Amino acid sequence: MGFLCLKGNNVENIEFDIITQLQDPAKQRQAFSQVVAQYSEKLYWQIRKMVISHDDANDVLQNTFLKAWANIDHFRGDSKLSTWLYRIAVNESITFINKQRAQHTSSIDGEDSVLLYKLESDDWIDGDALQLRLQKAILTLPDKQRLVFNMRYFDEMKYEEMSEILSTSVGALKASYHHAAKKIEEMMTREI
Amino acid sequence: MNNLDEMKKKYGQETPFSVPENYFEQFSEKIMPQLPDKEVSKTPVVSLWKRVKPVIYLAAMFTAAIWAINLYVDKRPDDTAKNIVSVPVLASEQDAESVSLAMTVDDYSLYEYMSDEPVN
Repeated sequence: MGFLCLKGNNVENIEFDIITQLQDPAKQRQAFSQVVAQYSEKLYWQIRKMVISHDDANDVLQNTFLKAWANIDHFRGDSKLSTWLYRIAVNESITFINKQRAQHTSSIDGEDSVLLYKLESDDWIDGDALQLRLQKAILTLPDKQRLVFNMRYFDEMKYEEMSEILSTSVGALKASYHHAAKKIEEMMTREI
Repeated sequence: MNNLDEMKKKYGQETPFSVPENYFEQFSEKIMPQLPDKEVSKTPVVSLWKRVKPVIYLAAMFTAAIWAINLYVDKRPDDTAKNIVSVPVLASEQDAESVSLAMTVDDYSLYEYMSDEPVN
């Protein structure tokens, strides 16, 4: 189920309560611990699919919450709390990947060598051969397409929700996903 | 989307990623102490000078404007004073009445009035 597909009055009420408490300096820290408890796992899996390694995902997740904490006073509830956190996580992931690429050589035959190396060497990867092959094919995509593909394929996130997070039109996201899916299908078929 | 469904059937939706045991429970416990304390924004104390400054500035400007106007009026050239029509000091009430009449009566009425008077 998609991260932002949480529906129903109950979830909305909980989020409203948390946002109200976040704006109260006396209750802010306590409310933020609820935010961490509620969203850390969902954010982690999104980050993990982007940065591949567990240790890196852990670092980026920490940075995401530190940044959210630093800017929590500016959050006024114009967007969903989850959307806001997701946006920070996406930005932190892309920044992290770009820094890693700048430190290492990158792009061999269209694949990201840094991320490919992590996929093959990380201690916390234990899927089957097909899952690994799919991940390798996904790594050939540009970061934005990879992000869109992950959100749609693995999390079945709605285009409207993706549009809010990525500040991109629904049409452009659909086109991006279509290109990504086609490319992955070709890659997977070629390798069989 | 059919393409998406076909891909999911063929390749599945599972990822090969895993995490250490109790990672998420421990993450929450680890991250909270790392969050820096926030400075509680106190209500700023406004000094007396800052509070009365606008009033003092306004009063100063008003005083300066009055002074400038007075200065301008006092230093006007003498010839302007000469242009002021001097009104003769009237000797009596009768003179004042005559002047008042002269100012309100037009020429025609005056001739008419004079022609009605008996000739001495």
